[in-house]
Amino acid sequence: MNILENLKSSIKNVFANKMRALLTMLGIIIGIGSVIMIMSIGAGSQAAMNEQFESMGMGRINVSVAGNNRDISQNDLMTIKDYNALAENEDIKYIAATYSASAEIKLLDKTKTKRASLTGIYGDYQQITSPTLLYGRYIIDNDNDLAAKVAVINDTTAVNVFGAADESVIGRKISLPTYRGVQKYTVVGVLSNANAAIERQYSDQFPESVIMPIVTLQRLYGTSQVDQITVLANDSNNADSVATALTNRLDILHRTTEKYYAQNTMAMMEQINSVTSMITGFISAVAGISLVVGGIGVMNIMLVTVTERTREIGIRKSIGARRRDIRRQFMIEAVILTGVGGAIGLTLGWGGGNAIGNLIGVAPVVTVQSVLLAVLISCGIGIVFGVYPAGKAAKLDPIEALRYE
Amino acid sequence: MNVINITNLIKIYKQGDLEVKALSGINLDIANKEFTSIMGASGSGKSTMMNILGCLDHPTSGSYLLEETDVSQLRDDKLASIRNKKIGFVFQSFNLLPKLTAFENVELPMIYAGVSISARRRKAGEAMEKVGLTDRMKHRPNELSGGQRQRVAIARALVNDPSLLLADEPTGNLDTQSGEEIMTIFKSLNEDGVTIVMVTHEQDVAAHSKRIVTFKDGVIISDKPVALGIGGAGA
Repeated sequence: MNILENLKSSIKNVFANKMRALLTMLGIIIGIGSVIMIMSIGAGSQAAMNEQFESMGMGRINVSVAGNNRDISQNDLMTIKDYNALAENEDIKYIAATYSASAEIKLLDKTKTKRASLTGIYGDYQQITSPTLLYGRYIIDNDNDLAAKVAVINDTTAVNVFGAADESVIGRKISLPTYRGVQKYTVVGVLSNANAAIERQYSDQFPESVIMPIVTLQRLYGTSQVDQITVLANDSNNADSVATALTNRLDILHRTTEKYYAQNTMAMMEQINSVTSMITGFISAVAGISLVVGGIGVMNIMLVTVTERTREIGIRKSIGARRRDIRRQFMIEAVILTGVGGAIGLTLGWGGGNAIGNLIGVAPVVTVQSVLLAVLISCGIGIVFGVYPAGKAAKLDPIEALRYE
Repeated sequence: MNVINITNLIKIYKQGDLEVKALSGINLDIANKEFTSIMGASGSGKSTMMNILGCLDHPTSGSYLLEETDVSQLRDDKLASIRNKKIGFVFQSFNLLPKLTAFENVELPMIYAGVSISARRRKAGEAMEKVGLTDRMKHRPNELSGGQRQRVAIARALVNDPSLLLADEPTGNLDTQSGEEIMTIFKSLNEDGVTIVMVTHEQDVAAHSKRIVTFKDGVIISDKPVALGIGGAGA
């Protein structure tokens, strides 16, 4: 009996009782469906995250002093000198130094203030972050040379401080109350809020963000400190080695060992990806338990089927079916049950993934691998849980089976 | 040439500690183209004999040569393939597969024999023609009368050109007229050269055959030809 013949008669047998077939497949449908759904959403959010990382610039490296404040001595702090030293590295495309702080700014309603993030910048910060400039201009080198009291603000700040985010904001002044009295800075540019994910994380804390020349900000705080040097490597694949070169250089300059920490987007992305994969894998494994339960259901029904069809098995044996013919017949029926169940689960999981993806704003990704995996696993379950009932059918004694009523 | 040579065949069933000797030393030869009836009361061993003849069961000892091949101790799959190619069964309760059509039932032994689809169609058609059921090919067993079902079973039994047709009370579930029809078919098959062994407990059915072997308590107590021209009651 060839496979095609078997397949035809098995399909007929399995779907002779549609309700039973459907109920038997339910465990597999739910199992495969939920695994596919979870995997598609996991892959989708991973893809979205990677896209954001890529928009941030792959090969971006953030260098800062490692450890907490107690471990950091005055000698360890970075300055513009370090920036100049690191800028000599030939494997980097852009380099910027930043000094960050936060301060209260006076709002439109003069009696109120709100905390805003202040970022003093130096070098190629605009090229690295590639912000969207809505009006005016960005901070330029000359601003740093003059320690000019200028600022670029984001549109939330513009709305909160001036009541509007438009051309008219340019040239107006924002006031920062400091211990040196109220300082006023001329707004030279307005940026769009929209920015890469990582920036957004901080902007949630401080929706008001003000960018100014680093020298201006350093003077305000009476420091020459640079707290982060940001670099874009020429080749993002080299980011790791560039990062090491930069921290080593800093250790030499400051006569320290492993005092500096370089975080690169590539490594961060890998880290986040591995976490998402782990979470997705774990939830899928939990969902996968229902596959085992479903498999047991299939085995149960197959055992019932074998008993119900004892006489048929006897007849088939009497006219010449060998053990392997009978075994194959029931194996194929089990695999059809789980395979069709898997296919239905795949479709439902894909649909469910889309539905939930819509709800939480993630475009689910169903990969070829996950489809193949689902098909293989569901057929595999049919084989694993079909072996015992099929073996039982194959071993039936033809005389006993023919006598069975 | 003999189709069947049975020498000193013994079958013992074990039921717990109890041993039941179903057949105790059977010697039986059946020649090619014979039409033999096996008779006997229930418990006489005739059903056990039938199962062994049909390669559904192993004898405990002794030899069973089917077309000069010893099949008494063959493994299950070998026996299955002998049942498939050399033996055709006709049962009292027809034993057709209810979900298949008459035609598909007849085709089934050839599927297990690995016959190609075109040859299968042709031979199944021929077999259906032989039993006069060409107009019932697409019917399911439950749409056929008892006599028609038994004719389908005969077609199925013949389709692989077996050396031996084994019939177990073939008319037991049929009315007299259908039974007669079945016996007519058997006779004409026998005339065409098919060797038939038939188990029955009805004298007048056995009278259609050429030889009657009677079993009692696991041994053959008589083995004689059916006298020509004499009806059942006198045999």
